[in-house]
Order: sequence, then structure tokens, then C-alpha cells
Amino acid sequence: MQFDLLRAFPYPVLRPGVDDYRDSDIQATVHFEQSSDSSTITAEVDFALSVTEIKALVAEGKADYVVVFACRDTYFRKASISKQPSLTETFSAGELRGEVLIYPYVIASGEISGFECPWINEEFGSGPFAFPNGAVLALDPPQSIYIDRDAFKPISSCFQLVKKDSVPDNEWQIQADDDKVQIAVSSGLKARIDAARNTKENRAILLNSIYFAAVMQCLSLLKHGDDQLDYRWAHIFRQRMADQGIDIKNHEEAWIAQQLMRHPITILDSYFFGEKGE
Amino acid sequence: MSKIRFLRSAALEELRSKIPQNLAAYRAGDFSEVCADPAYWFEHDIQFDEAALAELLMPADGKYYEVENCGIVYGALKDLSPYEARDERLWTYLSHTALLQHARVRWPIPDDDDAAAKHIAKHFFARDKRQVERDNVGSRLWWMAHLCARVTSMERERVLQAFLFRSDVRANLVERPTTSQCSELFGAIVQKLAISLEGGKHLFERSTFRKLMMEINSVGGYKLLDCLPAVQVEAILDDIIGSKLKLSSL
Repeated sequence: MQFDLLRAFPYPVLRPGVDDYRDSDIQATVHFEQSSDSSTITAEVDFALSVTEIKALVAEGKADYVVVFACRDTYFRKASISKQPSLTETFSAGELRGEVLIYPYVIASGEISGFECPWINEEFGSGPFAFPNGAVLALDPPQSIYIDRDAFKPISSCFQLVKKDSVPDNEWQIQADDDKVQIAVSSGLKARIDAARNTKENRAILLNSIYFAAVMQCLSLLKHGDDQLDYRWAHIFRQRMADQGIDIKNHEEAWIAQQLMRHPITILDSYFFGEKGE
Repeated sequence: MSKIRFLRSAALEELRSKIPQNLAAYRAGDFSEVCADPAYWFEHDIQFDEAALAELLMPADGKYYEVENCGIVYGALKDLSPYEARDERLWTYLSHTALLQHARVRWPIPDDDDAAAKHIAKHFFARDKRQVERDNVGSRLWWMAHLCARVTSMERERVLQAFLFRSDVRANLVERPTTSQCSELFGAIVQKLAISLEGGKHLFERSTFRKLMMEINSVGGYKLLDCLPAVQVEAILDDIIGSKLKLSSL
């Protein structure tokens, strides 16, 4: 099942930005952590759900919190099912590579009938409502992380988009004095970027704009700044350049950034300029 | 058993850039320097059975022995994880060393130099997803075997035979990542294909299989198939085959 905010379901589905339920919300937060020996990756997911009637379905054993982890590069897909709004899943590091998408849902675990909720939009009628086994009751947009042991391992471990109200809208600032490089943006821009991450096409644009520029600035810091920069991101950059035989003194930052990011223009080419990819 | 080797990134790009100059080596020579000089590669802790790769069956009389060769490559590299199996540096090293002779025979290099250079870039390297999964002489066999190895309810060889029987059916499955990633659903579809292969082969008809996949996609639009146990996934397929495809036998 692919996430499509505007998909028409034959029953109300709680989801952000769609008013099947009035004044109601679902939000899932996802956190990934690699074990110290790098052999496993653990995901922690927390659901926040404002509709008590859907929570009651879970408590009654009629629905489950479900998180689907999907990795196209490794053909890995796993659904984690829980009766609790917090769940933890551990993966072998060899199972995931590249983009991993995380889809949070609440799913009917059997036939449900007689469901009533005052927050359901009147357009659906007064109810009560019925849901088949496996039906989606609530969903949050997918989130993604990038897993790459060799270099940008993962890219999200090098860069962190943070909200900083002192930054003017439509500007961004790089703060590289920590283990993660912080890309600071206004709260409005952060919300727009978070929303834009939902499609591959938008991610291609982000990769070629804000992230490419951030990589160049990091390279500039490594080239012209303190040789002894001892932050995690700096180690990852140096390791990747060493692996690719790149001497930072002998090349322009723009060229190195293209090598490290594996020629990100090709992704734009794939989605926008040339023949559409998958 | 020996440790698997990955080309260094710089060596990989050098090989790629020198395809036109190395055409003679691709056609009839070898890349002994790649194997001998550690400047080209680094070792990984994963072990593999290099001798087993020599057992790959060469094409003969129009037969490619894909089922057998999938088993040989997957067995030789049984400790490889999907993470490493996505790495072009591994497959390009193997394509220029242990798999070189097989590559030449399985994917004969055209006489025209320009065509040969493109052909080599396609089958001896593995730059993107498509090349890793479809084109590289070794990686395509490993990945097809890996997809089938996730189906534990059937004999591996039977799964491979059903999966590999028709290339358009295989492509239709692989090109739908949601279906091919979900091992329960993938297994249920391959099981139906195996029954069809042993029966009337109706599911292998192009339009029939496309319709099957469209109907599965339609159900997956509102039901999260990932959550359903194998028996329920099979029931959904049976319903589609009976009521939508109108097939009384496979």
C-alpha cells in the first residue's frame, strides 16, 4: 500500500490534513539507533493519537498499532504489530541499505462493526461504521532514513534539520560545531521541508539544494578550517574521501561534494530532466 | 573458503573509464592484475566459496541454466547480507575475476567496439538498482535466489522454477516493490505460479498475470496486506483468481 493522502477510502480514516475526523490528529515519532558494534539497528516508534474511540478499539483487541518498515534496496519489508502506542523493533544491519521508509498505521485486526465517534465528519453520515479485517483506521505520512555504513552513514546521522526562530524565513544556516551538522531553518521552512520529504521527487530537489550546499560548506570547513576537527560528521567525511582516493587539497569542494554524494544531479535527471525512473 | 573482496572505489572508476582500452582483455584476456594487486581491492570478513563459482553451468543449446546457477551463486555467497549484495564494488570485482569467463559466455560481447563498451558496462558492472538486479552476471543470480529464498513454504528449486519461468512475469513481480518486498504476499503469488507451471500455465499468460497483479494492488489499496497471515493472503489470491480472473484451474 502506497501512502496517498488523498486516497478515497470507503470509510473514515484518521490522517493529517484530511478532515475525515474533525479536529483530530495522529502523529508518530521514529528514532533509529545503531548498536555499538554496528551489527544491529533498533527503531523506536511512538504513536500519539487524539481519537479516544480508536484507542479504545486497540484496547479492546479489535485494532493494532502497526509500523511497516520497507527498504527497496534490500527487498526488506516487515510489519511490526503492537497493542501499545510505543514499539521497538531491532534489525540486523545487513537487512537495510539506502532509503528505509517507515509507515505508521492503526489497523483493524478483525471485522469491526458498530463503530461510532463524534469526531467523524458528518459527510460520512451518522454511522455506526463497519471496517473489514486489515482496514486502515488511521495513518501518518511515511518517514524515511538513509542507511549507508560506508560513507554518509547514515546521511541523517551527519545532518539534522532543526528549527531556529532567529533564522529568517527562506534562509538556512549551517552549524557544524557538534557531532551532527545542524541545518537551522525557520519553523515555517522546516514545516514545508518536512512535508516535502514525502515524495522521491521532492527529496531529489532537497538533496541537490540544501543538502548539497551543506556538504560543500562542510568540505570547506575541512579544507580551510581546523585540521583536527573531531566531530563525528568530520570522521565520516574523511573516511569516505579516503575510500574514494580523494585528497581534499587537490580538488574544489563542488567536485568533491558530487563524488561523495554520488552525483546527485543524476537523480534530478531521472525524475525531471530525462526518462522517469521507477 | 576465502574472504570476499571489494574493489576500491578509485579502482572501480578506473576500470569503468578504461572499458574501451580494455576491450581485448574483456574479449579474450584477463584482469590478473586486479586479483593480484591489493591496491585494487580490500577484503571483507565475509567468507565465500570461490571454487563453487567455477561450477556455474555454461549456456548450451539455448538453455541458460538460470535455476541451477542461481543456486550455485547463492550457495557460494551464502553469508552475504543484502546490504553487501547491493555493493557494486563486490560484483565488479567478481565480474573481472572469478566470473569473467562465465560472463563472456553468458553475455557474449558484440564485435562492434561501441556496442561492446556499452554491453560491458551493463553486464560486468552494477552501477544502479536495475543493473544489480537484472544485468550484472553475478548479482542478478544472487538477487533472484535471495528473493526466492524468503519463501520457506516451498522447496527452493520449485520457487526458482516458477519465478524464472517467464521473464515478463518475473519483471512484473520485481517491478512492484511493495509486492516483491512483502515476503508473505510474494510467497503466496509464487506458490500459485508453481501450481500453474505444473498445470495449465494459465497464470503465465501475460494479460492474466497483469490482471492478477492489478487486482492485488487494488485490494492492497485499502487493506494492509503486510499484517495478514499467509493463510488469509492465500484466501485473497484464491478469491481474485476465482471471481476476477474467472479461472477454474491454474
